[in-house]
Amino acid sequence: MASVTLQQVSKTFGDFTAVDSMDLLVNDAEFVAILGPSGCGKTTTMNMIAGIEKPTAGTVQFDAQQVTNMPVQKRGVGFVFQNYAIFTHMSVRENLAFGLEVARRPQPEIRKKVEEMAEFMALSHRLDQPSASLSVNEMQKLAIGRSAIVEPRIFLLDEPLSNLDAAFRERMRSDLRQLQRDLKQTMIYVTHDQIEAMGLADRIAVMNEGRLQQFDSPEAIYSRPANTFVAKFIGAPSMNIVRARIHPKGQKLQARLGDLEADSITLNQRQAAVVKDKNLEEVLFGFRPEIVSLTDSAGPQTFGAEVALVETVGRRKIVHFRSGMIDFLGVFDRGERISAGEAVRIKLDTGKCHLFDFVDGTCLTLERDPAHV
Amino acid sequence: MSEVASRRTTSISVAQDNVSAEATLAGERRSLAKRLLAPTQLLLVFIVAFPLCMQIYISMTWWTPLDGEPWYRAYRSWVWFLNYIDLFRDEALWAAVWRTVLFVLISVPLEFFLGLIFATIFYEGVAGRPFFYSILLMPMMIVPAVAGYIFFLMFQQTGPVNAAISIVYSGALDWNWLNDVNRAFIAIIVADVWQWTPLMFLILYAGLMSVPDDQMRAATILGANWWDRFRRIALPRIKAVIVIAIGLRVIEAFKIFDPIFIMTSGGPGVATESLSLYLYKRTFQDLEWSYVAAIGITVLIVLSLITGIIIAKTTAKPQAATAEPVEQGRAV
Repeated sequence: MASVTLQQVSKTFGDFTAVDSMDLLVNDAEFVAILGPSGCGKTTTMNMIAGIEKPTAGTVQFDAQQVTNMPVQKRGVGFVFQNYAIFTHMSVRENLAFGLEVARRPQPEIRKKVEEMAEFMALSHRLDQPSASLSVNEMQKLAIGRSAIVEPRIFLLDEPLSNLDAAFRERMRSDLRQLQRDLKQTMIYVTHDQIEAMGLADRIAVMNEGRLQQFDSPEAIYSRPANTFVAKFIGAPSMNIVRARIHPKGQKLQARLGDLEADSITLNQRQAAVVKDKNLEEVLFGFRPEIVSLTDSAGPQTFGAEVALVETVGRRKIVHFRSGMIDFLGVFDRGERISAGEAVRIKLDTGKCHLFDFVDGTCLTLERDPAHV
Repeated sequence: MSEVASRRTTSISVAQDNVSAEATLAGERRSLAKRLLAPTQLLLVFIVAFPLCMQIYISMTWWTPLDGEPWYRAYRSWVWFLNYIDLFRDEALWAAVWRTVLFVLISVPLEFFLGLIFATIFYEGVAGRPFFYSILLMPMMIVPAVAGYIFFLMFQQTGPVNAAISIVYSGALDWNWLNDVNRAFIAIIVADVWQWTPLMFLILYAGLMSVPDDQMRAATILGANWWDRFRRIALPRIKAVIVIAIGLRVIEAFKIFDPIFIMTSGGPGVATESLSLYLYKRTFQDLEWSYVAAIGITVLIVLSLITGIIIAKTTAKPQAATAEPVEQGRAV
């Protein structure tokens, strides 16, 4: 049980920068997910927290203690591997006892703790069976129990659910969440699966190309993405991000999405203020497929589009639209009457749209001030 | 099939007809298979069975090529089991057997431990691994007779071994390795260890490489030191490999011939005479072919018994420990 602080941590392998000046503060007993696509540096980050890799620059702290140069055995971390790394030639009991035995603890203490942990993990009935005979969720419990028994300061989990099939993953996910609450442990969880991260974590650190993109609660990451990467990476189908020209209309500013001047969305006050402030002519206009709605009237805040393709996925219809040069998606209920080739009018709720910088993709409308949220 | 069936005009049902027709066909196939296999079977008989029978036959006579008779007339000096009784009283033979056993008992464990040490060092990671890897494997690739010659030169009184030892102990320059009863034995062990440690290393290293990497890392993170990791994770997993490696070397070492033949020819006296060398001398120097045949048969029986026991012991054990079934969703 400890907090973890990364300060300006970098790791390079030759010419390749795996992690670039990363700052991260994980609170005690917090469940944090490090999320990102393959090769984004998330595993390297975790390995540096564990002590498997040494940072090229920067420091790692557990609570107030410097651990940057401390070897992995001394750090007191629990590490759960992707495939659990159960010692399959040993029994469940021997697996649980391993950490205590190599620490040369007295036998009665080992026996007592192993039995307590088995009880806690609901593995008591399996204690003297070969660990290779366990089912996958028992293996996960054993892997966590084996680490937890040595009372680590923090727990690190490397994609522990990624080699399971979808149905089983759901259940393991809730088990894992429950375990974290029961153990009251600081857990850092690496995954490339946004649903896992959204469902499990108190906070999510989104990484891309070695850099931390955003570190916030799942809700904030979804509704207030810091940049186009986070916006596109979180949510399925991902956020529509299209190019839009800014032009004045009376007192207000409009973002033109389609070909015609009529195909424009009037920016709200806050959006207009940012654009005016920076004197922008072009922005990236982001809106989630979920806020796309159809309308009959060709009034303001609407624009014309053509339905290119309709996919029915479960309860939802995912509709591909084309409007002039831009393509975007909308999500509707299964019951919505819409078919390919149709010409429709689209209405967007301006307040739920995001403006991103055309050059570097950072969110222009992201406000830390809660008054504007 | 239908042709066979149609010839029958009795009231037997069609189904039965088909069955008998199939049976006939199967029978024909079997006899064809037998005919096709026959040449190979015959060849095997000539390669294995014939020489064995010949050896058993000769071993019950006092036939030698000096008799001026072909081997099949050996029955003229038929002596039943006299050769077998003789060999149990042959002190020179038993001394050679004991010497060979002693040699195996010293050199194989040495090779094993050295091989294991090298394998562990390589497994844990060492700078310049590919370079040392090829260096380490080189002795194994040298023809044993050539290796014998190399060590014959090395252990000369003015050779490099004495020169090296004289750096720390000047008396070493007087040592005549290959003419000294004990030192000659040591020299032969050194030569064998030099040549065959690489094989041990290779097998054990391959075994260690098969130990799952993340299990070793998991053990490390749980606080296991080098020795714990080796003893509790690696060793149980390479047990089978160790049995194979030692088994191979024991069998091979028991037959040692070439380096001894070249380095000492079994001398001084008979101080380094191995079983193979003894048999060689009795065959080609003394021409006692029937006696050697009897020894050969006896060795065959003894080795069959020993390997039989070993195989029975190692295969009887259930292999639950090495299996790694991960049945997804079994508990759902």
